[in-house]
Amino acid sequence: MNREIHTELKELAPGFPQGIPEASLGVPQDYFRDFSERLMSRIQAETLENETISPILQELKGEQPFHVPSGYFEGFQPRIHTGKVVHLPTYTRLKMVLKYAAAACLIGIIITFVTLNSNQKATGEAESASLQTGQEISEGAFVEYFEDWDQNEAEEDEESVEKSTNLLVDINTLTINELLSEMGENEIKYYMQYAGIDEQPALTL
Amino acid sequence: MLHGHDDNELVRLFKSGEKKEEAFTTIVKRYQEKIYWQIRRMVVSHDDADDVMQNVFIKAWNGLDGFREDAKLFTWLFRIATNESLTFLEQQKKRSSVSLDTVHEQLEEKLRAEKDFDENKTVWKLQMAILQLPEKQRQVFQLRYFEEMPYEEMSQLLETSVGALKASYHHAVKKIEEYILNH
Repeated sequence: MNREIHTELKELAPGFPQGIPEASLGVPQDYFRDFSERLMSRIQAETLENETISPILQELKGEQPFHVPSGYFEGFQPRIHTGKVVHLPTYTRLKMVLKYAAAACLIGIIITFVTLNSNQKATGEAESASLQTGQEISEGAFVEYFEDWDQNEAEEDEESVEKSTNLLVDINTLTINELLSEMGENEIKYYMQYAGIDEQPALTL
Repeated sequence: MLHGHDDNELVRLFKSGEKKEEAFTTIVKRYQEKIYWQIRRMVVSHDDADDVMQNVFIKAWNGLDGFREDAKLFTWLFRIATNESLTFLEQQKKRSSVSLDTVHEQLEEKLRAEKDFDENKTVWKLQMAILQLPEKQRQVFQLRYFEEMPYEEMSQLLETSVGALKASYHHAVKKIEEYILNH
């Protein structure tokens, strides 16, 4: 073993067994003698296959139509290492801005749609809630309510009639005479005929 | 055969189309064993190594026209071999997620299937210990320990810094030492 490598190994790993030969991995007899021949037969067979399938393709093999600026490969490595800053052309920058603007618009539309949808839902929910409330009130309750309403209405009518009747009772005789004295005799007669009153009762003042 | 030609000349002959097959065959014969063992140490089984090695050289045949010669030919072949070995193991991993076996267990089985395997012998314990390492760490250890490759050369081959390689090798050695002492 090379002295340098031997020393290096000893320093790195003192426990490493020294002077181990490489394991003898079996190789078939005459393998290397025949290898190049086998290889060339395979290459020729593949070349012939390509030529048979497409002579044109075989002819064009290896031809590179693309133009590469002269000195490109020589100068390529150094350019990478200098970390040169490449400024994007205006068109490219504008394109990027437009992309972001389009994305923002789309997001805005989505948010608006979702918001509107949720409001409608809320209104709908309120309506359906009230509807539901109505549906929850039993028939019996309705009947009872309207009965009460009728009762109330009737009571109110009676009250108002009573009120008006009381009003009439409150008008005294003096007031009636005063009213009658303002009317002429003919007017009184006319009224009595109209009212179907044949005899005028004597008014006691 | 063009044994007298160096790598650059062989590549030139290949690209010109002059002696394409002959040049390529010379390259194969020159590097096949080194490439084979690099693959074999990763995949363990000879049949798997043979499959991977064929794929490596077919890729080399298809890609040699575009080889820019900024690196050594062997370095280029070695990188292809490394990538193909790792791809092969990755495919094994995907298959093993179905069968619940881990790749390490499968590699251990293949090692045990070797003709002279004896788990009591240190030489085989070392191989078992190496299989416990993550693939890249395994590669670093094998290149340093068995191939005695300098870190600088390894750095070019694996495209990793010397410092990272040293750290990887040191960790590997510690793990292997622990395994051997405990088994």
